[in-house]
Amino acid sequence: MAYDYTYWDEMARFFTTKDTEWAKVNMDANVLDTYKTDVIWLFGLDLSPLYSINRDGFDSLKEFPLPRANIKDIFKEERLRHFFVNTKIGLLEVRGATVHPGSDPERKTLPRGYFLTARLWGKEYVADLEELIGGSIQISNTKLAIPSPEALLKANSIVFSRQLSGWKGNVEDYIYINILSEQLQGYKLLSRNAVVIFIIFLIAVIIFITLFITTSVNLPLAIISQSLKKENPEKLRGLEKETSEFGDIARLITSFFWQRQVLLKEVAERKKAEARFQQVAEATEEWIWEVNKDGLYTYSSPVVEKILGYNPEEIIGKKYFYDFLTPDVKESLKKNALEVFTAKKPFRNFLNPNLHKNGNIIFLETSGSPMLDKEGNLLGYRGADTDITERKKAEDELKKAYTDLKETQGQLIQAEKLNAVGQLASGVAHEVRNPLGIILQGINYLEKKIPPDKGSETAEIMAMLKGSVQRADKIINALLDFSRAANSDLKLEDINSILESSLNLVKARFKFDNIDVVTETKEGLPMVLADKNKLEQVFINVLLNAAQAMPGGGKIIIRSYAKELKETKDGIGKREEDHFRIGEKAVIVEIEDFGSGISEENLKKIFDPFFTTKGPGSGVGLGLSVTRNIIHMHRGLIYAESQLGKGTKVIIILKISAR
Amino acid sequence: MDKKKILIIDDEVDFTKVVKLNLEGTGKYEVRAENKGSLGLAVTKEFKPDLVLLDILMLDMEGSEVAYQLRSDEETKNIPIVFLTAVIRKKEAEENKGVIGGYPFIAKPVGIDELIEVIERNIH
Repeated sequence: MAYDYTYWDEMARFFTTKDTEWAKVNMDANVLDTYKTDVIWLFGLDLSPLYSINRDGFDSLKEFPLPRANIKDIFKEERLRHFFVNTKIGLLEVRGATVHPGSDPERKTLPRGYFLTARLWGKEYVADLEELIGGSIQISNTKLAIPSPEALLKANSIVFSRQLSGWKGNVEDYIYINILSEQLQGYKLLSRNAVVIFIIFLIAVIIFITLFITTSVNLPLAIISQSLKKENPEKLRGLEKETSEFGDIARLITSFFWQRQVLLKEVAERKKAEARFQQVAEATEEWIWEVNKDGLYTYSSPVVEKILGYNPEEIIGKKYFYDFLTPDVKESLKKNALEVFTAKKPFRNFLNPNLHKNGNIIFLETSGSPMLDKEGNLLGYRGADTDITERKKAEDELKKAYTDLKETQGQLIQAEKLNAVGQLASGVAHEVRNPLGIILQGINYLEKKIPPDKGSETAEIMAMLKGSVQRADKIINALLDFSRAANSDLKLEDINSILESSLNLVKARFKFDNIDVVTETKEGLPMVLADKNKLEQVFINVLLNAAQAMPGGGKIIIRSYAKELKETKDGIGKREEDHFRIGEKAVIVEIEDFGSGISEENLKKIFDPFFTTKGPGSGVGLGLSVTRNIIHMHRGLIYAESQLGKGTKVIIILKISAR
Repeated sequence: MDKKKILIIDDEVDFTKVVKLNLEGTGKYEVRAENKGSLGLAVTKEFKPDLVLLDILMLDMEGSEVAYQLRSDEETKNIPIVFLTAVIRKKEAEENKGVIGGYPFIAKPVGIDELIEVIERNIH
């Protein structure tokens, strides 16, 4: 009512007209009934009372229960008010509003006046209210205690209170409403049922969740665990098709199983391969090994014990590859090998001597390949060694046999040549000497028949003819000397004296003026068993050759000394046919010139019969071959060393007499 | 003094010719030359030489064979034989004091003086 009546143009006009008649018509007792109110007050803006109406019997309410001056304050903050006021006749519920024209529903304009209406909360009204709510109402100006909820519940009553505010917001009174309700019992029951239903629902939910977990979590988990336990991916077939996480897991597990199977297969194959390798490594005669990048053994097949006498435990992690090398080659081979390591190169059939645990020398043929990581860094080497000691021995023997054979062949050829030369020499000797005989006899005849004057040309020619016959005969003799070097007269001789007599003979017979002969002969050399004449022939021959190598003159050094033979070479060694043993003491003669020298190719042939470089007329080329025959007849050796353009050294090795 | 009779048996015709001339030229020897070894014995028997100069290497009969025949025959076995040969070196002959296989020896080529010396040394 306070709302309806206060923004009404007619009401607003009333405050200007103060038309009491209009007020009486529009706010009569019927209106009070309609709005179930007991009194209405209208005040002008100046707080003058303009109209009031009250229900019959409520005349004491004709006057507004609060001082009029308060009205302005009542509406100061709010334009619509609802508050309680205690009066002498009881609690009054007041509603009021400022009056504004209908065009100002928000009551923003200056109010035209004040409209207030009130209802007395008398016993009658309270009884009505109690009837309406079905409980008891108690108004009190003090705060009352409310019984405990349990007590209330037990009594089937609901009690609530509310503060009834005055116009200043002060507490005017407290209202207590106590509803004694049978319905509460019903609610209580209802509530109890609700709890039961809730519990049942909860149980149902739990069961559902349990079932859900069982079917969608436990079951798959059980399948997964089963499948994992039995290592059987077949059980996961059904699960795999699902799109859930279990499907993913199942697929993962299947793929894991698959990978595992592949891995197992691979492992099995590797094991097989390893076993195969092991078997091969153990069965093969080859020593299989692995070393790290420093050369330390990281694997060794057991064969090593057969080869080097050490078992793998003594080697792996303890020995370096170079530990087995013989001391003479250790450092150099180690250096070489580590260079190969640095280059990360493979190597093949590298021959190296090693020491067996028992001290024997074992020849190994080593092959190896580098082991590299993904970045190409060297991890080590892997390879195999073959014991070729026996093979090497056989090879050496074969090589020796071959050399021997070659030498024998050479000797056979030499013998054949000698034989041929011998026959040739005999033939030539016969065929040449007969005519020589005739010529000589012919000269004798002519000398007798036409005796030339001494010093005449004829005498000279005769002498020349005789000389030529002598010369030709000499060549024949040399030929025969060659073919029959035997038949010599061996005596104990001092080599230095033979050298001296040879040199004297050479100097006496040949032009040796421009040759400077230096003798470096050792005094007190052991005696040699020699044919003096033949050795002289040898030395003369060599000296003449030396001189001929230096047509413009030069120096010849003659040396003699004794020494122990240490080097194996042609004719020095252990064989039956070798003239000297290793370690044998011998007398050595060296005749060295500093002339034109002999080419390597020719050096091989200089001892061959009929070999000459001197050109036609200079000689028949029997000199050095005869020389060698003579030396061989003495069971000695003769070698020549030469460098083209630098000179030649002829070395003669002679046996020391045992006598 | 009677000339000494020398028989030279050598298949080198020129050699026998010139040796005969040279020996006879000394006036001391009567020389007969025979060039066939096979005729050696017959000619020796007929000529009855004081010494036989005998070549070793001859085409029809070796000197050693002729020597054997001469030594085997009563008539000729005491006639001295000196071998003349081109096969053996002079030096060898010297080294063996001019005797090989029991016979004196001369190596070709030989000068007349040397030849006479050997003849004189061996002739009876």
